[in-house]
Amino acid sequence: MIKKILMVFLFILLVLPVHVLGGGNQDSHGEENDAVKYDQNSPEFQQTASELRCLCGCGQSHLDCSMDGCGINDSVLAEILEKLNEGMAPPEIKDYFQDVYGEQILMAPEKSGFSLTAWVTPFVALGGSLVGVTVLLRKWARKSKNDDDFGDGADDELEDDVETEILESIIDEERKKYY
Amino acid sequence: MHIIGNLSINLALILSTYSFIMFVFGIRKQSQRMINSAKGAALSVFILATISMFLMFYLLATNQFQFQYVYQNTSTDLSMFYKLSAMWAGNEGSLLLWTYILTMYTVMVVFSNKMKNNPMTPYIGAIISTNTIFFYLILAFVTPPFKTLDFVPPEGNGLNPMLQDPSMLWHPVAIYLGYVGLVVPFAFAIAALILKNIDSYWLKITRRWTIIAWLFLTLGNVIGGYWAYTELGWGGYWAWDPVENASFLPWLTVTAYLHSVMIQERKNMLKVWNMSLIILSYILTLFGTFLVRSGVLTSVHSFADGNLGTYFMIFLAFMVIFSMYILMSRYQMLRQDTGQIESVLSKESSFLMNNLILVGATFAVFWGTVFPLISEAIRGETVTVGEPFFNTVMAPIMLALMFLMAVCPLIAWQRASLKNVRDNFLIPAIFSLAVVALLVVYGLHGAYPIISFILIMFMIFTHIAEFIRGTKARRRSTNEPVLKAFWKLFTGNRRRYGGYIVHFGIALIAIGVVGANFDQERVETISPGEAISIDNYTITYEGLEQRSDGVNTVIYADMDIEKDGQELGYLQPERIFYRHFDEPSTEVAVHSNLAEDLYVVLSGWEEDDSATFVVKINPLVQWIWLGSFVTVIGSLFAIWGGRQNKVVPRYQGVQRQVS
Repeated sequence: MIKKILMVFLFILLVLPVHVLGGGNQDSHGEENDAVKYDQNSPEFQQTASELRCLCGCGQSHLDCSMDGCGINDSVLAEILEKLNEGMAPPEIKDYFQDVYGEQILMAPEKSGFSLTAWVTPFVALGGSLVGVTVLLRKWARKSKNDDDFGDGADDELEDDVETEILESIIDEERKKYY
Repeated sequence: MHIIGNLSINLALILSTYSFIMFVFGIRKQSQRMINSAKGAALSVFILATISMFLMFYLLATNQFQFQYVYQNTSTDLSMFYKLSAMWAGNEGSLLLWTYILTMYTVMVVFSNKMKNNPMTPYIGAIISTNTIFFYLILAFVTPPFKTLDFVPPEGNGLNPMLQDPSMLWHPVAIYLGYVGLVVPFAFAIAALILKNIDSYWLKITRRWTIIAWLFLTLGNVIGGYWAYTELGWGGYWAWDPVENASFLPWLTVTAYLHSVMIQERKNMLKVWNMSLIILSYILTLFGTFLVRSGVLTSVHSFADGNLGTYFMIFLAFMVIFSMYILMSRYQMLRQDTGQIESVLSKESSFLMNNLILVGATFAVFWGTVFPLISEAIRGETVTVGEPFFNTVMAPIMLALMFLMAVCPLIAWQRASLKNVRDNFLIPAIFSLAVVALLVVYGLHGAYPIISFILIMFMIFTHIAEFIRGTKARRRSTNEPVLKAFWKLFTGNRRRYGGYIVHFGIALIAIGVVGANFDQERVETISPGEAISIDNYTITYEGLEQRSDGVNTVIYADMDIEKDGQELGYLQPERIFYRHFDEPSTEVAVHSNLAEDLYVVLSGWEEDDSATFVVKINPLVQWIWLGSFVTVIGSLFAIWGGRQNKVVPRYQGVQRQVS
């Protein structure tokens, strides 16, 4: 039972919807509001800038690029702001930049086509290994003579383990006093 | 001067080759004279490397610009510390430092008292010498550090402003000490395989080496993160840059190794796995160096230069093939006499799971790092794999690791009972849920942060429960006062409790990392007298000032800080203009406490004194530095002093006439 709970817990952790990280995506796709005036502190602007990579060689997003002398960052940031204020939604702006610069402008690969393998492969590998290790563990445990895995009557080895160590260290301390 | 320098490099190349040949022939002919000669040559190489290092320091300190390396990386106006730290500012100097550490470690191993009369010594010497030869080949023919110019420039190019930071005095050195340190356990492992010693001797004797290498890798990564946070001005400490990933990869595999060796020591299991892990860790250090030096991936930290990456690739391929051949040829032997896991629910299996997660994390980081190359090769289109990818992929993996760190210490060896699990986990689970409920009441929100805090708290409380249980058990036997019993418990098993302190450190770091979910940022252009409000801070811009710092000019803004109407003092974000560089560098100003950092960057200014500021609230960042400090303390506690650390494992393997 316990091992099943542990497995389920691990599984949940591995398949948790990943977009919740960072407080969620604040896309405003489809919501056109002429009255909204975006600036550099607007969440939509920061979100979009953080998803586009600066190509000046800093390796960071346009939101984070702080490379002195970067000739690209300011103009791209201004363009993002302009497009937001023209009524374009953040995904549309991303698409626009991707059309111009290719997929390399995105801070992370797309979740479609070949690039999907980037996202999926680590979890497939981990999941496969998890299954493999579990099968191996069960095989080893079966091979073992004592197959009563969860019996309440089993010795509490941990208690013994700590106490044996404590006893050893006490004996050692005593030995040091006399030798 | 250049004659001494070049002589020290070329002679060291000849002597390291001689040392390798003498080790190999000494082993073949079982000639102790040859082995002694090889050891003497290794010592001579170390002396020559020391001469090279001192000479380079002297050249840097005394502005000998006729030397290309000195000309390219220093200038007369640099402080002495930065002149000397230019040693690792470029390829030539940093590879010299790498080689020096390698030769020093060789001497420490080969002449170690613990290795006296040990037949493994010549094998280890030969394996490390292979590395030394490679590095000296590079120093002699690809990146000669003592190359001179045809003329004597009156002034040097200066040190890259990004490297003019106190953190840069230590970060590269720590990383190299860690990277090179992994050569030692690798050499022991390969030597044990060649000698067909399949017992646990090699991993017991290299335990300290491995922990020290791990400690330096940890320090190197943390100092690098601190440097990025305070120097680069983007408000983060880890960007998942390929070069950062390169030093994180071996850290992950060594962490896995440090856990899985315990199963081999106790149960004589996982021998192939442990060999593979240490080989992989070593190979990853070469891979990291290849990434940094080759420039195949875009990185702000890269110092790519010509064909250097190709040579590292060739050496990497050679060492992979060599290691795999040795491992495969001993595979069946390693599988013999293996122990058994008696229960699916046991400490052994939880360690296996921990290894699975750590190696899975290694694969995920590796995959993300090389995916741009794979995409380019297959589709012909370059993609970027940056922070959003790694945060998304690594978050669940790291949470799973946190969970295992919480449960592992309290699961018994051999087999755990249901009662054991219930007794040990119930109270910590209740406490952790209570603490997180309190945090939610105080405003903690978001699925991931809440789950993360539950797991981190659970881990902290299970460890505290373990300490309490151990102290109680000791008091039952000795009737000692609580504090004495607690201290004696810790010092009685430094390895275990040092490890637990490290876990505590990791928990504190994790708290800081989760804090990044609540970052806030404002960018505003304001005039003197105006203020920026963010969260409950008010930052009033009082004006721009200028001062001189040596030959550099510093422009700084005076910013009055208030929180909830209470005066907190002044911050002065700066821009430094260097004589030798066109672009200024950023010096951020940070007001820190355990809850959050107020992080202010002076982004730019106009003639009317209006200035643009990036102001950030970065919650819990201090916990990362605090946790790193605790991690270092735990590692030192585990290897320093104590009964366990004094025990020298006895060599019981194959005997030879030479040692």
